[in-house]
Amino acid sequence: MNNNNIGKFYRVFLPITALALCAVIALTVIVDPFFHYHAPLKGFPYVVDNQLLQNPGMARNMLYDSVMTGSSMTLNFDTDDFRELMGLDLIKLCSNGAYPKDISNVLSVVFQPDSRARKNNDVKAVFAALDISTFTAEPEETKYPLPEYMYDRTPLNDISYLLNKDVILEYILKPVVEKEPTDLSYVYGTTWQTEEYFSEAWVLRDYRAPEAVSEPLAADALIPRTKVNLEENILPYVEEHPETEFYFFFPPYSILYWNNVRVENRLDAVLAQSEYMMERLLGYPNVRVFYFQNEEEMITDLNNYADMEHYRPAFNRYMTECFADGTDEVFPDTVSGETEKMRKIVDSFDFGSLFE
Amino acid sequence: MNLVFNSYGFVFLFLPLTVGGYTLAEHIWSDKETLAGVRRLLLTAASVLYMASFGLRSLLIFLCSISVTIVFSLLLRRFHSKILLTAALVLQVGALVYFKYAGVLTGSRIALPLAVSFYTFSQISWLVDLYRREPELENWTVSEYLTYITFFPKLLQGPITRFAEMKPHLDRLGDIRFDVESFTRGFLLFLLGLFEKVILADTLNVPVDYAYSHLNAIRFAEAWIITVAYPLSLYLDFSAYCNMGRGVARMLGMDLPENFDKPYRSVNGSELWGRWHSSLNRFFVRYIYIPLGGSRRGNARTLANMMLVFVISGLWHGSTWYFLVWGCMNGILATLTWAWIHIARPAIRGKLSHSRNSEAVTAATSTEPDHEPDHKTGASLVSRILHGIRTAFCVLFMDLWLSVTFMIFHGPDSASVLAMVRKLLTPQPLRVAEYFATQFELSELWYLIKITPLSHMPYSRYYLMWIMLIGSWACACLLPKARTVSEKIKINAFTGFVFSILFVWCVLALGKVTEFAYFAF
Repeated sequence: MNNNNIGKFYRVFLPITALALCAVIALTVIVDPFFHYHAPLKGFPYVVDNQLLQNPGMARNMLYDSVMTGSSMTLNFDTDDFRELMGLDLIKLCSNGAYPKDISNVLSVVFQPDSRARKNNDVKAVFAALDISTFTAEPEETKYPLPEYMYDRTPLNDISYLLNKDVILEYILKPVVEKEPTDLSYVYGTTWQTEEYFSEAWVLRDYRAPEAVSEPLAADALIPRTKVNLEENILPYVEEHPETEFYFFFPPYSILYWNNVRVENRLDAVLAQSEYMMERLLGYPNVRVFYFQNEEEMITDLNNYADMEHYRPAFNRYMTECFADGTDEVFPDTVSGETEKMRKIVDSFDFGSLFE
Repeated sequence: MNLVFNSYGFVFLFLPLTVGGYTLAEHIWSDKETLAGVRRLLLTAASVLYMASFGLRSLLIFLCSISVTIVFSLLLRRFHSKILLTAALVLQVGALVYFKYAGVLTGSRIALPLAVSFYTFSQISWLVDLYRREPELENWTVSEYLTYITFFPKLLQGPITRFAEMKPHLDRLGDIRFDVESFTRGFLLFLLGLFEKVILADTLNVPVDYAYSHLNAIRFAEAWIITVAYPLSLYLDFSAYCNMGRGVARMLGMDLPENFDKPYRSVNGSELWGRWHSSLNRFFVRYIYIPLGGSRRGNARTLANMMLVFVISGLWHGSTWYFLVWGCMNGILATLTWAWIHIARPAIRGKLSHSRNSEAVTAATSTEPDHEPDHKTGASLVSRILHGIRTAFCVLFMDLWLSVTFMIFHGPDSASVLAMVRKLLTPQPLRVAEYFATQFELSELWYLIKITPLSHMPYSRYYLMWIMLIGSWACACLLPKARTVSEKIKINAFTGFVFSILFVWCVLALGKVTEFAYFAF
């Protein structure tokens, strides 16, 4: 092989490669579709649809005074409702299937003191959905592997962001072509869940009851792990930020969820776990707790659901109204009354009628 | 940060540092012996570091395993004893069986250490060859053994390499000088492998994962498309790793044996296993089939030996019953093929030639003049066409066979595999949902839709799906092997341009770091 030809190969290969990679890096840094380095550019049609990758940048570099976080139970909140009813400039940082550690990861970025967001103003309010079943997870467990390069401050591992085909094609070039930016007031909202999804027939079609368990789960069985999760992933933020009001709410699962709890013989344990969580949280003056699980009319009508847990977006509006006017709020002396009401609903409901 | 081949860390850090250090050594140490020693040390250290990047547990198990082999190897050198060999093999196979099956038997989850099958098989071959006093293993040294067994280009997914295959390269370590052409061709092979992995295999994997996680929604035609797509993605994934490994070895002035020889071109069951993961098959033949008697003890024993090898191969691939079924199915096909080639066909040909000879004798004794065929070219063309049709039919049959039998490799559990099989066997109207078709879509193809008339066509998503599927199949079956391309291609300014585009494309696709499918074995 002629060395001259190999020389020509590298004289073309190296500059083109270097130039192309530098161009991609420059474009990514300038547009910054994940808001990792700076605030959004004015006029750029940003698409926001990737919770894991875009939440940290949004938390750091967007301007807001309150936060909504938690699992898919929070997807359909509308930030305009919070502005209208509570005067809050809310940002949605939801994570599908969020475990307590996922909530903690989001809050750790929200409260970073040197971020653009925190340099501008403190956080007035944090709204967080508490999915009781996730509080028995390992305290370090996350729903999906965390893309560290978006959460840490080390520039070295940013290469996964800076040289990324999807970032260039899906989040920079495609939005420029399509010109359909995400409406941040309803970001992550489940727009695909059209009316036909909310029906009893649809819900029951995919529902499979679990195996029955004869031995009841001890009432205090879930508390130790819940305690660790609260103390490691939730309460530190409550304690360190007395200036922030925390709204924790228990989202309204359908009666089918409670059927599972009943069939698996863990109703006592789940209710005791809920009570424990409410009592621990209400020990802080900057915490408000809302319990929506015993909204009987709502949860017993499967036409309000797309599956066992996911409810109509209209109920998000109702919950926002409750945050504003205090309906369904729980106080230290009403905790046991709320769980007792839940128990009565489960005990009195005719589950057999659902499957006839 | 794990240093899987398709990661930024490997491409931009580990590979340049290792090749750089390896090359720099020849400028520092001119004495061949010293240079060879330094390079052995450097390669071993780099390989251990490479393994360590995947986690301490796998590294420790690996180090334990090779320490045990070294101890037994030293003992075997001193006492050439079958008992020692047996003890060493029992330990190696026992460890492999424990990691692969203990979880199944006890109902607990025992994570499979990375690459345990590959380095265990290599060590078995080392121990047996050592016992057999193979000439390449005379005067072996521990440092040579360590360089061989840890060699990172083949460490995680093979090819399962015998020491004898690497020995010539290890002997030359002090003589190898950086050769820009060798390096460039190695780099091109690595790049072609990277393309196979991050552009083709990973893209095909998306619809496969989608189908298995939405089994309820998958219909008949979609199930068949997935059945074809999955083995393609598995092949491209595994072959990509081997090409990348061979490319890296070539950059270092060495070589690794071939593991894939276009299996999608196989015309029968025997040929398939000479082309697919051939290093594993060579291992089974050399260390199981031949010691059992191979084909030396009559037809029945030969067929039984072959069947046994396939059953073991099935059990090695997985601990569930359907891997056993997979092994048996392939065993049956391979034994039938062997029986046809070695028993039935010769018998039929014998009979035919006997009758032809009789006719020839009659013709020779007749009074008719002997006519030379004057249409020789035409007959040859017809026979070539017939041969081509037969070959195409056999290839398509084998590709279909490969698709159906390999489908089970992806099944997360028996229920999913059975559910998929039911979908395949329950005919429905040939409809494919548009959402399903979009699963095959590369982001790049979206731009193709936008800038071409495709955007005005009602079935543009479907066209793209077929482009992806047929294109991948063409890569697997019709195009030349990546190794052939990297060795034959003219290196000049034009290829510099083409490969710079390919390199940038692949690097940008590294953002989604995915594991290689065979890491799980």
